[in-house]
Amino acid sequence: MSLSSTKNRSCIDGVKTGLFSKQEGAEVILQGTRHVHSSLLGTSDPCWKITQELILGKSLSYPWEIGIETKPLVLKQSQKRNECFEAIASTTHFGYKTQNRDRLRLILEELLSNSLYHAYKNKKEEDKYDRLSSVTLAPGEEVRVFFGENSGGLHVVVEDHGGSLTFDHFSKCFNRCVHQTKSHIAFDDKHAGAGIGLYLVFELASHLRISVQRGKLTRFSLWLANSNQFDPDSFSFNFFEE
Amino acid sequence: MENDKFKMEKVVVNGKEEIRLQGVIDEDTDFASLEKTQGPLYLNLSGITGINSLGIRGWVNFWKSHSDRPVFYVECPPVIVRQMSMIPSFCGHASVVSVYAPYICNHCEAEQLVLVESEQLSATPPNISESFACPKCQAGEMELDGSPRQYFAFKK
Repeated sequence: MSLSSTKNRSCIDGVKTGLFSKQEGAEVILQGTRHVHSSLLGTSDPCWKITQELILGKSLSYPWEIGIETKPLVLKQSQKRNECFEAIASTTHFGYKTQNRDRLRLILEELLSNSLYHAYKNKKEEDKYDRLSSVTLAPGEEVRVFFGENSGGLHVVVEDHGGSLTFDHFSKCFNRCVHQTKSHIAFDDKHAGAGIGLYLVFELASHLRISVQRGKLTRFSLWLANSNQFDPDSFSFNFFEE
Repeated sequence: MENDKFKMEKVVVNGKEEIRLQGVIDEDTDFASLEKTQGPLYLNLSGITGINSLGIRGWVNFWKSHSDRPVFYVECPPVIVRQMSMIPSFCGHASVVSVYAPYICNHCEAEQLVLVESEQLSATPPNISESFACPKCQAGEMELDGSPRQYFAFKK
């Protein structure tokens, strides 16, 4: 899909809508765009209208953020990541299909690891926990997971109380990954997953909304379309920072 | 080096030596024992059940530092094909010999992996069965589970 060939596009500061591939969407994010919607409907996309309202400060949910009836799964130990995955995969129809399970497993592995290892900082504002060790979060620290589904797919929320993710950091991670995946340069060994995890989550989710309240909360809300309904050109990315 | 999540095994298939990888590729996976082998390397990936971002980084970096050696990926399962399509450098300089395509029955949701060989992969789009009768329920059709364009995006 060419960036220049598609009609019905809108581009204002930090916001872009139209019809893109995921790769084009990633490039747009690297240019500083916090809100990207790709849909055949372009500016008529109802999700796009909701994003505009959210940018204005209104409190709304996207249609894919369906009601969640379950209690949150609370994670405090890195060794329990797989139990968290199994709790979702074994109790949803979505998790019955291998392709869905594989996608969910990878997304949860990356988001839970990000929250466990990178959300909580020490006094020097460095990661409190070492990515290559098992970790048990300190009292008051936790990662919470919510989920709900309908016939179209699965809604998953992963949140922590670190609130340390910034758009600047996100785009730096993204930048390392998007450019190095295409090049012959080795990935940077100094930076944990070198941004690959966030990039994978962006690639695998149909809709991704990241909300950060500085020092209080980082929340990843995702819609995973069923594998037989997954349209790679229909997606959204939104990063809200308070 | 092997660990309790990952194993490598040398096997001979039709007179050709292959290295079979099994398990999960993650931060604990060490590819150093691949350096001890000589000549073209046929990696059978059918036993790989998972990979995370740190595993991807290790994999890509290992092959970038061994780019002078011919490498062939054989029987790639969907968890590997997905990485090849999302992370272009995951394939590096390797040639893809065959991949598994996931099919699902539109009636009973039975699943089956179908091997797609290099001759089929060389066609654009890949020459794969659009559907076939479900061997389990006999009532439904097996169809590719997902978008063919996306699944075979690594061919670009």
